[in-house]
Amino acid sequence: MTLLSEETDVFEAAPGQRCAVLFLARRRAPSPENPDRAVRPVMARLDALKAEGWRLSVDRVLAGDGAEADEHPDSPTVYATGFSHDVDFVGLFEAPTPSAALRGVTALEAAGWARALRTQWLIGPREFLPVVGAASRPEDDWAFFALWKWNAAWHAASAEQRRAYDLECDVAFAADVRAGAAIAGRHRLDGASEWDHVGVWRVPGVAMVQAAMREHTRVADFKFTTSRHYLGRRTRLDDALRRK
Amino acid sequence: MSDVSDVSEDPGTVWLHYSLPRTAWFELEPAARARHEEAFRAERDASERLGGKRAGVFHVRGQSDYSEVEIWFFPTAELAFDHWSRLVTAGYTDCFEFSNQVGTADPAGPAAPEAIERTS
Repeated sequence: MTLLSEETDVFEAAPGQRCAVLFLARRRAPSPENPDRAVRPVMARLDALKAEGWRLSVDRVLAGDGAEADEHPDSPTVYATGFSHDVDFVGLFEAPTPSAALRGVTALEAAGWARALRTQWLIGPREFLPVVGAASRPEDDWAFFALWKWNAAWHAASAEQRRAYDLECDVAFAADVRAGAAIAGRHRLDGASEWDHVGVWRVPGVAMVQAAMREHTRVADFKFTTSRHYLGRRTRLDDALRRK
Repeated sequence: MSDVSDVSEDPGTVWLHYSLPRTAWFELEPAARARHEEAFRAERDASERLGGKRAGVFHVRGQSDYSEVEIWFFPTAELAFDHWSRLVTAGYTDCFEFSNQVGTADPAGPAAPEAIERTS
C-alpha cells in the first residue's frame, strides 16, 4: 500500500498491514428487551480477536508496536458521541490485516453486536505511525475522530502545491501535539468508503479541540478537504452495550 | 505487492466501486484523457493477472449519487486494496469521485462465483 501523501516532520510511514476498524454506531431503537444478552458473547469474541492480534482501544493503538506496547492494558473501548452527533458511539479498533478486519467484523456482528447497535464499519490500512508527545496524558478521556477527503481543488493542484499544503498543515499538527493531542497516526479509508482517511486523537477535552480547529483553519487546512468530525468521551464497551 | 498468504482462509471478496467523473475529467483534451484511460486500463489488467475478476460495470445514475458501479471479485481484501491503491497512484481519483465497499462472501449463501473458485 502506497502513501496517499508524503511523510512530514510529524508523521512517519507505518510498516506492515495493520488495518483500522472504525465504527460509527447508533443504539437500536427500540432497544432490545434484554441488552445484557449481547454483552457476554460480544466480549468473548473481542477476547478472541485480541488473542489474534487485534487492538481494542484508542489507548492501545496509541501505544504502538513492540514488546512493551504489547503489555499495555487494552479494554474494549468506545467513545460516547450522542450528546452532539447523529451517532451514539464511535470507536477505533485495529486488526492485524484487512482480511482479519472483515472476518472479525462479521463475527462481532453475529455474536450480538448487531442486536444492540446499528453500525457503519469503516476499514483500511494504517498509513502513519502514532504520534504521542510529552504533553499527552493517558488519563485524558476524550477522543476526536476526523474523517476527511480531499476536495476538487486538491485534486486539481500541482505536486508542489500539495506539498506546501502538507507542510502548512504540519505546523498545526505539531501545535496539536504540543497542546496534548496524541494522534493515532493516519489510516486510509479510501479502499472501502467515500473517505480518504481517518485521524483519531486522544485529547484533554472539548476546549483543546476547539482551539486546535481554529489553528487548522488559520493554516488553511480546510481549503483542500471536506471533513467530518466526531468528539466523544471514553466509555467501556460493555457499559455502552448495556445502557438502555 | 500484498501478501496473499491467507487466501485459503478467505471465502472470496467482493469489491464495489462507485464512480462519478470530476469536472476535470470532462475538460481533459482527448489525448490526455486517452493517456489516463490507458494508465487505468493497465492497472486493471495487472489486477486481473493478480487474481482479480472484473465482473461488470453498470450505469446507476438514475438512483445513485454516482454514475457507475463497477463490480470486482478478489481472492482477498488485501488484493482489492492493492488494486485501488495502484489506481489512485495512477491519478484515478483526480479524475473521478468515488465510494467503495468491500465484503466477504456469506458461507451460507449461494456458491461463490466462478471467478473466486478459479483464483483461490
